[in-house]
Amino acid sequence: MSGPALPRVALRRPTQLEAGIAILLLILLVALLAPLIAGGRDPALILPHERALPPSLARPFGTDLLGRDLFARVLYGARVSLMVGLGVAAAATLAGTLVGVIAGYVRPLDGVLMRMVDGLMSIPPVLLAVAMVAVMRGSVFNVILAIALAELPRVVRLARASVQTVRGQLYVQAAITSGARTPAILIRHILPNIAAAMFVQATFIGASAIMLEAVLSFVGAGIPPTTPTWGNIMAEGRSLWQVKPHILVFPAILLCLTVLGVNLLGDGLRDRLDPRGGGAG
Amino acid sequence: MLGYALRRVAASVPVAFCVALFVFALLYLAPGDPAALMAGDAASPADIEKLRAALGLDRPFLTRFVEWLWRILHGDLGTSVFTGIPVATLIGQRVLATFSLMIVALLIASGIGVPMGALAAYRPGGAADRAVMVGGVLGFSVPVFVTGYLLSYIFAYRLGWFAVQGFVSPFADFGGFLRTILLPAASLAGAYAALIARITRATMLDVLAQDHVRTARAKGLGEARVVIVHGLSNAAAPILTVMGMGAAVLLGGAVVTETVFGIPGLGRLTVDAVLRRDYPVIQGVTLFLAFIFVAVNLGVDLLCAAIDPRVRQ
Amino acid sequence: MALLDVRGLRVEFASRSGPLAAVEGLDLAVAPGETLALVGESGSGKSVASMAVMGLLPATARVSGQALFEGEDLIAMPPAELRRRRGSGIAMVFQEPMTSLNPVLTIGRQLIEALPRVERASRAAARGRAAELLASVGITAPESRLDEFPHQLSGGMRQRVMIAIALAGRPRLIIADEPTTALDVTVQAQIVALLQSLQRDTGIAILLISHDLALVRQMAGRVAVMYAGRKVEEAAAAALFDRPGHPYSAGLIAAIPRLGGGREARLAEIPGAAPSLAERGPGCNFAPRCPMAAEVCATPPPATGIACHFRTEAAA
Repeated sequence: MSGPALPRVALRRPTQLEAGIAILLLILLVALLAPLIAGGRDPALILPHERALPPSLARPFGTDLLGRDLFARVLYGARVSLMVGLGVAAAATLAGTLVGVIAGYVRPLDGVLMRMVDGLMSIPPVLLAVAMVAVMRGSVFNVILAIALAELPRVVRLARASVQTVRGQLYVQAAITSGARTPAILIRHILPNIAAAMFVQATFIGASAIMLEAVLSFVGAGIPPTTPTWGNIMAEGRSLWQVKPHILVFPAILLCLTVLGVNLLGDGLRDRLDPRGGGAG
Repeated sequence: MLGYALRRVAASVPVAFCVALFVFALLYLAPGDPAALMAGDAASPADIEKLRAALGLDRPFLTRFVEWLWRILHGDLGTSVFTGIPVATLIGQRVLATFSLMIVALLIASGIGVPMGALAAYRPGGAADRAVMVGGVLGFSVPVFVTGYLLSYIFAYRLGWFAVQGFVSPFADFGGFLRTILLPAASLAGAYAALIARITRATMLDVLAQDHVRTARAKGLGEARVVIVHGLSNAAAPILTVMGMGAAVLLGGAVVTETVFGIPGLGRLTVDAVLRRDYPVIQGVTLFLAFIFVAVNLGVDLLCAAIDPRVRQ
Repeated sequence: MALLDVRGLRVEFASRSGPLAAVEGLDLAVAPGETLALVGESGSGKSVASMAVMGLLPATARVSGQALFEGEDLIAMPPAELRRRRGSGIAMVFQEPMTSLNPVLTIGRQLIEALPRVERASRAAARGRAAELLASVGITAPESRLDEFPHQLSGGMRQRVMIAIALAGRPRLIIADEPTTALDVTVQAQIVALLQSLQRDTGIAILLISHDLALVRQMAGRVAVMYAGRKVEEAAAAALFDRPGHPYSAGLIAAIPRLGGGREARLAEIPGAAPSLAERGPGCNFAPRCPMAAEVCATPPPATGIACHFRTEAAA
């Protein structure tokens, strides 16, 4: 007999999940009520004589290099981040699960599909998204599309691996030999079994998408500054970051907080739904 | 071992082919007219037509793909539309800065991630374990450019210990190299270190519970030797594999880090090319870095096979 | 004086409902050069007891009592002291030769690191000694085996390597925990023969932990029987197999398959299953399965000798 297994210390996980949900509800509230909270400050209004002002009572986050109110811009920026996070998570998860289920279930297609996924995965996501947005011009929709494509390979891989595991289970083998039709097997046995893992991964993809959007906008390959996003606000603060750090600080804090919230949600969900699941990768 | 190496090399050929196909198709299938985009809003229709012919955009996909592939196999990655300099030359000029940045970041990340992950697994629930948990979530939540500006503000701008901007070749002035590279490498290392610490912790938790670790202790070996020699040698293959896949984090992060720290590397080259819509450069650099990624993962697999005889089977 | 003298060994594991004892008040004495078998079903605490003596249990285990090895208490001594006695004083051979060797290191490395410091001083001498050890456990072409990996060897070969590793530190006592259980029957016989010849040649003492009574009868001079964390009986092997004192020992012996017993001879079996850690009480834990159980069995059995209220009757 082998020695007793080392005990794994149970940290208070529910706290993580709750913290994640709380942070995200707050950000969601900010995004929905942006006009109300901004209190009449216009995110697009350019005031040339009020450029790069430090934070004050009237302008809580200061103004940017064109004299636009940063408080309003940062609040509105939450909308883009949440849209991108949700949009990419949904698009990549749905499309990736479809491809992964096909690869994991239809043997003849597996080799070809997986080589293509490996190829796509070999292009670092940032570069792939930058190149795609450069070609398509930046808009929220195009950015979501580009990031979703960049995130696709991970989803396909997980879905395929999960399908193969479930497919190997005795009860699924029994269903197959007893002549159940493929769609019935997929819907009744396979999808319910991989749903938890896919859902957990979707949250991590959302976190990574929010970050990636900020990166794209930050390097100037994302959404143009007419739509305020945390990334492009920071891009404008880039040249003067040493003397006017406030332009970078507030969007950076909101960005980190949001991504942290989604990651906490993901970790919390993983421990609830899919305790054997891998890391955030 | 040789058989395994040959099989593994052969297996990466179709992957590399798919990479090339994607990078090519990316610009081909893009909605809108690349020639029009490239020429800019002020160009006349005739100008656009000329550019289209010059780029070969008027010929069918397959023909162009085969020609393009043929040129690439001969080392011709195209020519920058903006500067007229061959893309291969541009890459050659910038590759040192980017690779230095990535290698120093790799050293920092594995120097922190592996020991922290191993300690966390050695004492679950201990201080190192909690640090890995918290550091893991933070490492994945704070973008590279935020870490970059934060480190730069404190250590370069306020304290003046490091250079704020630029890059110095390690072969020209090693002190200057360190002053310019350490901060960007440290900020680039953040998420990568978190990734390495997590996988090391998970793998070592499994390995340290294995029977042969008990055998090593029963021999009277010290704990350090048990964990490092017997634990890490078994955990090395999974850790290296994740580090190889995670190289994408470094490659992507380099684009951002170079922007923050004004390093004239491949990332800056890409970003500048994006702003100028210099497609051959975007295509060339993307392809080059994707091939690097494929090569790194091939190298990692061969390394794993060298360390772990089970992989060779 | 006994080589290893275990007194009142108690091992507890923490659980939600308080500590649970896996071993309760175990006394054992192994004399130099003898083979003592510790017998019991899985879960009886025999492996836990041996791991406790070696200090190899996880930190969650609470070990109390004494384990005097050559007069010094292994349980009370600091970890670094204990570590110096592992391998060189007491060595272990484990049940699973498939997993007990490190799969990524060569046989040579794993043998050499078990050698005493002086024998590791020169690389050539260390390799020589390692090859010698492999030869002594009956491995042919030992020089070339040094550079092989565990997966290149058969199960029996790996167990021979494990024994060679155990011998490397020139210990006075080997704890062999189910050394043959995972092996084929023919290979089992070879390993038993090897252990016996090594013991003849080197005078090493063996603490054999097993549930295999056929093996125990072949190898052991004395036998201690454990049930549910307690020793229920200890006797010379011949006496025990002849006249088991405790009903549990009697049941075990009746369950040994015999050659020539005939196809129709049914094996006796002990009904029921051993109690889990949480189900154990102060009375006789074997009572629910015992054919002789009576009301008195709910009270603690005798603390010395055979742990049975009916021991005289049983012995008769």
